[in-house]
Amino acid sequence: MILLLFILIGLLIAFNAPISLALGTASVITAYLKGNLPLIFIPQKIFTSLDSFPLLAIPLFVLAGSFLETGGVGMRLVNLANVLVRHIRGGLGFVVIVSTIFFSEISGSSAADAAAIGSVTIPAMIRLGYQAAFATAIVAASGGMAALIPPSIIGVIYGWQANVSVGAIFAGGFVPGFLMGGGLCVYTYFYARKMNFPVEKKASLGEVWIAFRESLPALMMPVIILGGIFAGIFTATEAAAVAVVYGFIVAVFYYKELKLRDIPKILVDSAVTTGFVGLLLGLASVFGWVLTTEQAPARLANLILSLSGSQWVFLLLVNILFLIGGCFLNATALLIILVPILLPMAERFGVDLVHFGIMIIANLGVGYVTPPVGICLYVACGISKQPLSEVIKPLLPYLVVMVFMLIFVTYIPWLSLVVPSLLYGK
Amino acid sequence: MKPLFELLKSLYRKPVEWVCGLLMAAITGVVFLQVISRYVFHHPFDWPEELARFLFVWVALLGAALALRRGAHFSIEALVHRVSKRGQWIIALLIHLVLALFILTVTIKGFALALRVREQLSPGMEIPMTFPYLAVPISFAVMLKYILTDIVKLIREERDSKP
Repeated sequence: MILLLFILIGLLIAFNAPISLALGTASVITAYLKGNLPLIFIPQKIFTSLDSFPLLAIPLFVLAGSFLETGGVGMRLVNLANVLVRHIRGGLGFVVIVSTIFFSEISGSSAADAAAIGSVTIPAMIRLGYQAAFATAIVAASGGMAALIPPSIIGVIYGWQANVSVGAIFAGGFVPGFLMGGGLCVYTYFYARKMNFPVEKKASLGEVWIAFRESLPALMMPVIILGGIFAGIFTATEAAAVAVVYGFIVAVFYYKELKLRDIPKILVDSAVTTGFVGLLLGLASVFGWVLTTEQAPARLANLILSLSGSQWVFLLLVNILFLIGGCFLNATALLIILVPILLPMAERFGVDLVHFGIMIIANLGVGYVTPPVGICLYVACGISKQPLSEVIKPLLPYLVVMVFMLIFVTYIPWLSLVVPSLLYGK
Repeated sequence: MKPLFELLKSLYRKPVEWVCGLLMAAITGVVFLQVISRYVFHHPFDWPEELARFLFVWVALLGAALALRRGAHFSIEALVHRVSKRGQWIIALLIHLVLALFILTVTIKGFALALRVREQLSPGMEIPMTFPYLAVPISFAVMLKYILTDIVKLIREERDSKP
């Protein structure tokens, strides 16, 4: 039965069905053929999986992100990063990485990070004589790194799936996120020296002050969101709602770049993004229910345990699974499908679930960048109008750096756990 | 007068978009109100959390219907291009019919479930659970409409392409 379920899903996806509907349809056919699974459970599962307060953070983070993306915040943050690091050789490369870190502390979506930063930095880099393909590659890689930096929508989803605190997942992403950013910077530096990229004049203190003042309202946002969550003032969902209201006020009344007539479109677009994730969550829970009635996760866990009892091997297998899957499936879909199957195994192998989550998020970050379906790569190519085939060459070293950092995150749990244990004393 | 007319026209043409947009705004307002009620009035209400959850179920599923129409549901296209044009058409039609059948099943079972829970009251607002549960069948009915439109389009294209 399980084999039939997976063959059906594979067939439906291969023939262009949306992943969410493929999961649902295959599960219902399997349930129907088994005969003893009443179909009224389908709407029941869809409803109960979505009726959750933590998941409410998803539409709110999406909305906050799009207010700021349209509201001119990206440009201010790029300006700030620019005055801080432009005097280093390959400066604009660092500007991309640093401003993506700033922006992703506000937004919960890596695609939005790549869009907001890329739309400002890619044209600027091309103007200054950087190759368009290199500019595209560094924006895409930075977007992948941003998956780790809190807040993140995939962090919200994982927290809900694994029943761990979203705050702990957010806190856990800091060190690995900065580590990955550092890795990207180091490679950029050596590449820039080799290629002899232009160096710009160091910014004066006055310039730094102006850029800082301009972006201060945007910089306050991570203080409010992350500070509020970590200090226990709000839940992640409440913080997201505060972020929407604050982002709206900053974009409309302070930067004045978001026009009121743009609001309906932003609301509807955010609803569509939420719907994409929502339907996946709902139908994946139907899929999970059919799997569980077959005791598939437990049986699979036994199988893997019988092959090797080593946590080391298990984590390696999970990484390989996500890296290959990330090439072919949308990262959010991959998360929603695989985590329910992997969680029982992770528990049996004694992996800390916060560490496991950070490791998976790092994998998805790489998945955002791997062709053919990496979303950040798509966004970056869309901005620079470069074909994928041109971007692969400059992108490859960045992917190697990211996978290298992923290995650190996988085998040094301390990196993921040090901040949560400081904050939550776990 | 003219803006009002434009507004009514867009309401009539894009009712699902309007509902989704309003739901998004409402969710923000309700969760924000919950924070305010806790910190400003020192008296948390218990209904906003429940209301926000129910609104989220609605927006997640209606938004999914919109996403389906916009083709935002990510899918892999590499494999299908290796088949002949005629073969592609047959596969597309077949997949659409299978998905339509699935969506129809969820719609029917969803209505049955929403009716079944009409006597249950939600713990916070004490409204019949039918209201939140209706999100499933109504959103799937909208999806069904979109997918049937696609099927009609597919058949028309095939008919028109014949000499």
